[in-house]
Amino acid sequence: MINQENAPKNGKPLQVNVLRYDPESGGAPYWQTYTVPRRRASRVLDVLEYIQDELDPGLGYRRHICHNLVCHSCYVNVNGHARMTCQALIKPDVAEIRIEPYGDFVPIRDLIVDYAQPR
Amino acid sequence: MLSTVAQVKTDVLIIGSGAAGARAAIEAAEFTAAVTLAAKGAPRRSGTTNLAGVHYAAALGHADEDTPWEHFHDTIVEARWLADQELARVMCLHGPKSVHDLERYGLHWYRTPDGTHYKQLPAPGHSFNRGVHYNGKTGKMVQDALIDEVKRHPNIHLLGDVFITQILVDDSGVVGAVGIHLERGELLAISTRSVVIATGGAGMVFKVTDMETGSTGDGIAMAFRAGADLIAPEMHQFFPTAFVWPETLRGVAVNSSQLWKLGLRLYNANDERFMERYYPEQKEHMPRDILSQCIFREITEGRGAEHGGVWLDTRWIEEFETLRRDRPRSYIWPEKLGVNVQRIEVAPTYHFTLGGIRINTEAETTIPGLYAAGEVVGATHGANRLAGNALTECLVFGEIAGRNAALRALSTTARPAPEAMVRAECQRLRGVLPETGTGRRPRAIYDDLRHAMYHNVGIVRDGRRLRAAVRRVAELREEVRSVQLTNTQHYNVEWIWALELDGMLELADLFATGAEMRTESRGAHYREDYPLLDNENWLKNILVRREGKRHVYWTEPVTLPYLSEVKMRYAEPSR
Ligand SMILES: Cc1cc2nc3c(=O)[nH]c(=O)nc-3n(C[C@H](O)[C@H](O)[C@H](O)COP(=O)(O)OP(=O)(O)OC[C@H]3O[C@@H](n4cnc5c(N)ncnc54)[C@H](O)[C@@H]3O)c2cc1C
Ligand code: FES
Repeated sequence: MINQENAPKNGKPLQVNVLRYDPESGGAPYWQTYTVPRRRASRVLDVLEYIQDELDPGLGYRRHICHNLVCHSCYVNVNGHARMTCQALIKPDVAEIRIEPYGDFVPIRDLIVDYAQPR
Repeated sequence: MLSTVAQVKTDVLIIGSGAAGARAAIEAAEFTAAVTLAAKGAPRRSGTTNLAGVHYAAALGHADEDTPWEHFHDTIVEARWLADQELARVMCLHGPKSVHDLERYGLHWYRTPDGTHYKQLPAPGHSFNRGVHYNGKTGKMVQDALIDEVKRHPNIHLLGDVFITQILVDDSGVVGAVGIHLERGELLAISTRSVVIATGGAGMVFKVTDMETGSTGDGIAMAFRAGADLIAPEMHQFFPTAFVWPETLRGVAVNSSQLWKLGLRLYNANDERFMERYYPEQKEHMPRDILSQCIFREITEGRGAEHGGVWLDTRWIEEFETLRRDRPRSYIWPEKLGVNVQRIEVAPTYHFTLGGIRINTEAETTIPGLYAAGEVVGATHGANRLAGNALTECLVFGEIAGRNAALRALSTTARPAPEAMVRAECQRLRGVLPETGTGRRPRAIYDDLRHAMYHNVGIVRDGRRLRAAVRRVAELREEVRSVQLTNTQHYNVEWIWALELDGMLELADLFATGAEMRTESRGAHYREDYPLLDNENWLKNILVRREGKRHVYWTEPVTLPYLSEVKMRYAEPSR
């Protein structure tokens, strides 16, 4: 192998802070923290899918996506920077990440934005 | 839940904004129809079209002496003679024009250095260099060019995040459709006399796939519920070489049919170049179906490597380094995830839905006013599809479907979607999305279904496992009635899974039952208990239709109007 697999089998779980927004309650966005095992934390995409599948099916995140760098449906802000989740690798020594909706478009729910409505 | 109903009126409703749907919208709009182009994802971003790798097959003859007729010949032979010759003929004859259409929409295909000719690449199964391309971004460029053109038409209304759930049909044909506006959590009653289904394939019914994650076969299930004929439910193509490791890349195709032409080699865990054993002469130069079956055999018979794949060795390919740099998404990106691209561990992944809705050469289904185009259609590629033929099919039949849908809409009196039918669909949706379910969550059932289908109705089949799959699907269908869902209205992701699951369970049953009926092996359909190709009894297609609650299956002989001397290209074991 040229590289090491970037998600180690064990190691400390990753803390993931997600900015949530519920259009129904009309309230302000709020932060929620999830704990994700390292082996499920190769890329930000894996982390969000893990949260949705295993921890919180109510988390809004688009799932009709390519997983593979072409569709551009997967944008979020990671630690303040716009990133495609499928391209955003998580280094093994990072303990915590912060995820917010992609800022260029109007939010619908949690991390889902309306790509037809630029801000 | 879903208590408000918004009304939408349109001449033509097109479901799906991938290559087929977007092309249909443009054509219908040029005939002055008011078009609604709906997609359950974000338009431009959703669908499998973006993922298409390199080839767009069209016999332009810019690289050699190719003709559309040669293209047709290759398509039929590689389809193992099961393709609908009328559909394949139209696809091949119209293919070159569709290349020019895309160029007019703004796709600047790769050309020869002097700019006079398109570059055309070789691919397995094509006798000539037929693949026009835009390097590793062909699908994305096709999708972008089409949506750019869609946006030039003021009479196309693009409607993203709308999940169409039902097509309304009475004795006169299509009278409307119902969908859910995901963002608002509101029901849409759509009044229309023409609907084009362009929802793509059903890869997600199987656990490992390289398709976009919305490829759940919704349109095939919808057409079936509406009473349209489906054809070849048993035919599903696997792409032989996809990553098995790291987990995050599992199922992603190691994407280049060119690699085979250039001389990749496959080895099992014992470092044996196993294709020499199966096909001493051609070795790896075999079509997708045969390669997939051989690889699967190596793995299931215990000769698989560490993560359950075989080794794809690129070190024998002289041009590999150039290709690697040319296609960073295919090779350099996986390196960042830890893959050694000189020796990649691979296994087959679900790639293309060969069966689907039955249409004729006018893209008409068996229901008046209901049209279909693209991967959602069955029988164009028979039992095996050639590289590059999928996009061509989308553009060619998208155009035809769009034209006919517009012509019907413009010559039929519009009327509101019948209220009773809209109410009945609301009622059905309440069952699919129960408010007080206490069972498992949809994602868990979804995963179980995909697992059962991959293992029992996948690359290598037998009667016992197919029957087990049918039983398992029935159990899951029972279970899904009490599915537990998040109770929110605006963009409820679990609603999407529950809606998709409803159709996937319907299709899974048809896929498994169809596969059990075909008691031979042909192309992508391989039966361990019937390993021989059987032209005497099985030069026919399986069809299925819903009548009331009953599923009615029947077979029809393949007609051979243009090529009639059935000759196989590969030495397949036959009766
Ligand atoms: C990895 C990969 C590589 C490929 N490479 C090639 C290649 O090189 N050459 C080639 O010719 N083919 C290739 N193919 C095949 C080809 O990409 C597809 O067959 C083709 O793009 C399908 O297009 P489509 O328009 O039929 O459907 P899609 O592009 O899948 O579009 C489907 C649309 O329908 C929408 N939709 C689905 N259900 C609903 C619903 N219920 N309500 C509303 N909207 C809905 C989706 O949101 C989407 O907009 C490849 C496929 C894969 C997976
Ligand atoms: S998932 Fe498609 S670009 Fe990221």
